[in-house]
Amino acid sequence: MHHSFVSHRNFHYFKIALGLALLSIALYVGDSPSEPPNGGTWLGYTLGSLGAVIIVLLLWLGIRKRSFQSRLGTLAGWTSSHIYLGTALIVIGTLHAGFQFGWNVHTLAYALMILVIISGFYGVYTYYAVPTLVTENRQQRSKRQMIQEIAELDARCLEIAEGVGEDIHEIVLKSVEATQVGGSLRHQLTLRDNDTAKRVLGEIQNRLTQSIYPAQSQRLHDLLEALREKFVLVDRIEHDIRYRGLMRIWLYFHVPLSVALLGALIAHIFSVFFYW
Amino acid sequence: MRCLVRFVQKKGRSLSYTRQEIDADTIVIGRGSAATLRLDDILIAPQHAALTLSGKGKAQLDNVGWTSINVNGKTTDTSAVTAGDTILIGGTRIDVVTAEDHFDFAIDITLGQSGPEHIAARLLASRLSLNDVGPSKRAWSWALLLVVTGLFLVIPLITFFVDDLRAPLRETGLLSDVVWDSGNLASAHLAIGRDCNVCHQQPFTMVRDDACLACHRDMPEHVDPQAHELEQIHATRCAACHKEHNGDKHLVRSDQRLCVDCHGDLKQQHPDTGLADVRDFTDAHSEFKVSLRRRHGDAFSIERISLDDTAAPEESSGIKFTHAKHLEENLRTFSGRVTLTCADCHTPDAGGQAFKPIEMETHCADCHDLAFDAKVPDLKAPHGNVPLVQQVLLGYYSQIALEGGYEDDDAPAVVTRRRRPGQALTPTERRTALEWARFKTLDITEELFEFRVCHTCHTIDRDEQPDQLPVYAVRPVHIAKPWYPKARFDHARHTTMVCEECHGDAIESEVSDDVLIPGIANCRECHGSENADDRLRSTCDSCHGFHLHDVAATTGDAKNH
Repeated sequence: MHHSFVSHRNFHYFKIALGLALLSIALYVGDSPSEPPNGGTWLGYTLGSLGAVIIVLLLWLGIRKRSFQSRLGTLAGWTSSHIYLGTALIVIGTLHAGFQFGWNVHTLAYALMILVIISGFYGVYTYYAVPTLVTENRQQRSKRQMIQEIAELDARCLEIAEGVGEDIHEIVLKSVEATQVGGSLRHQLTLRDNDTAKRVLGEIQNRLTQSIYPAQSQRLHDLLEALREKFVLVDRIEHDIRYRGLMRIWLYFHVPLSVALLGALIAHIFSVFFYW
Repeated sequence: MRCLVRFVQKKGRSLSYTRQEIDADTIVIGRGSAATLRLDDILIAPQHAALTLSGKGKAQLDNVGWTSINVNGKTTDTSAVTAGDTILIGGTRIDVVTAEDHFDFAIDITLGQSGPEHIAARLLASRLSLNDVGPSKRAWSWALLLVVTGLFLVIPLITFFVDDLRAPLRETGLLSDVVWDSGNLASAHLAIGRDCNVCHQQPFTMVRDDACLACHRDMPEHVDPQAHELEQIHATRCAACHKEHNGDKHLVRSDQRLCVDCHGDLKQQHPDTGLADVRDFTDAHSEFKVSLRRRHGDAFSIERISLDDTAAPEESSGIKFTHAKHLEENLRTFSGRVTLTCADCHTPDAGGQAFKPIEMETHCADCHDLAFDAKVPDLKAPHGNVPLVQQVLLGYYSQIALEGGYEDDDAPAVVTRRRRPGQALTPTERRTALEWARFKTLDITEELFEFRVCHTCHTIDRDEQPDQLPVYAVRPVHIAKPWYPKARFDHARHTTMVCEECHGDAIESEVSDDVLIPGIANCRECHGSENADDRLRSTCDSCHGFHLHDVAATTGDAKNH
């Protein structure tokens, strides 16, 4: 799916966005206003209006494309236009400002726009890079299925451990209790060093090495296998949570900054005409 | 210690209890064989926790294994427990209840879900996606929207509308309408500071002219609004040309289009105009016109004469002067041979823009000597006051005649004869002496005015009066200045040039009627229009002003709609 929004309809929206950007540049280069280029010249008003319309359109599309009932275009079409028109805003917005920046509401709107676009670029990157990793990592299992498997493996480990001895049972029980997935924002976006797993596996491995009874050795061997299988699954869930976090975290910047941009845009336009 | 343990089982809606009594000081709870209270829960350690009675209905709970216990929702290793407390161990729930009469302590035990279910439930209850962490995108969005609109819309509006808060808010900078400032003010306006409303007085109204005119009083118009019905000019706001918030460079609009928009085809729009169409200095600007005074009897008028008129323009300054003679090399003077340069007579004024007037005493008198008596060469006739010349001469020669001892072949004896001090003259002698003085004055003034110094430079009119000295009148001298009153020219900015490059005709000019002022071709050698690519780019306002000081001051009334 992710390649389709880039080349959607033979780069239809890319061509429109490129056309708008080149037209803006041509008008800017050809214009010779009687004052320094800024948003208050006729070209400035024109580019500003164009930019504002695109921003409002993209915000509206951002809401609209989440509505699956919508029959207005395809999801790939929305995404394609969203990305390319959004990118063209860098050119249109910068030329509208005439490269004039300051500590004011006008540059605030510009800065928010740039931040929204940059966060959007990151989103495009994750849509490219991460879904393949998610698919490969999950191996066609859902997160709930994996958790269920972990729970069953834990129960099996405890049963085996009980047969080995009370101390081993307690070690395994401790590791079951210590198993954690997800958690805080930092934990979701980074991978834990699973020290408990290493310690438990090391301990069981030691017992296996020291075991002189074949039946005990078999139980320790089974326990070791079951524990390894469990820790692989825990690792997969951790990766899954991280990948999905990476695919969503940018939206926590993109969406609120877009809304902040709308506020700044309203303040920007209002203030310009209030103090005309 | 006697402890009552009840295992609780749910059967439909009712609960059933299986009782067990334990008599021990310490009850070890666990799954293993060594436990006093054995619980069939795979998540419980062989020996998990120990319950030690500390009084009637009170006990101390200690964790004895490696795994955790939980009392009233808090993970702990040791805790005092009493009736009402809930203990979680593995998947099993233990409620401390009120002990009946003959029991010291009582607990209800509810076995929970199976091991895998319990583990899965715990893991599924973890925060597995970003949705479970922190505020939602919607919450962040609302928060940012409120902050941005609050800081950058609501507070600036409060600054505008609430008089009492305006000054204190602006002091803060960020929390005021200062955040709406779109760019630096020109330094001329920095004194206004943060008071936006000095200019922006009414919301949604472009800055009105009366805001400008409050300080810029008596600013002249471009044309007289009374004399010309030019809506295009009178309806144009000050701020249409004077764009603020662009720093220093662009407060005054100076592009060529400012003028050419009207002056490019002025004749078409206003056929009665006396002004030529101008579109571009390089190739579409009329020849310059000099302003010359024209004599009408005793009166003068100003005529504007184009330098490209067929007949060469002639000045009528009233003075006789030849640049050619004065610029000759090795000019013979009283003090020897000299070669004059332009700067010997034309000295820059204080600002360097123009030149000081030529003064007879300073610039001419070295050669054009006003001495009138060869015997006293240092005594000069006064310049610039004709009656005074005669009075001075008459007084001077009368004194000499009355004192005597003046050597002159044509003088009577009473004048030439030396007298002792205090020796009185007879009335006849006095009359003879004063008649000689009068004759001498007549003789010398005639020589000065009609044949020597005055006549050299001035046109002299002589009027005879019976029984009086003749009355001389010097024609007034009016050297054109400024030559180009409609434009600015600054000599100080052209010091890289030598005089001859612009005024080269001077060296051949025999008469003062010659106009030695250069025309447009001379300027175009260096200056081009604002688009020129081979010459100094010059706009209309390099030479011309917009607000013309000979035009009525603007009132702003017509412009404030």
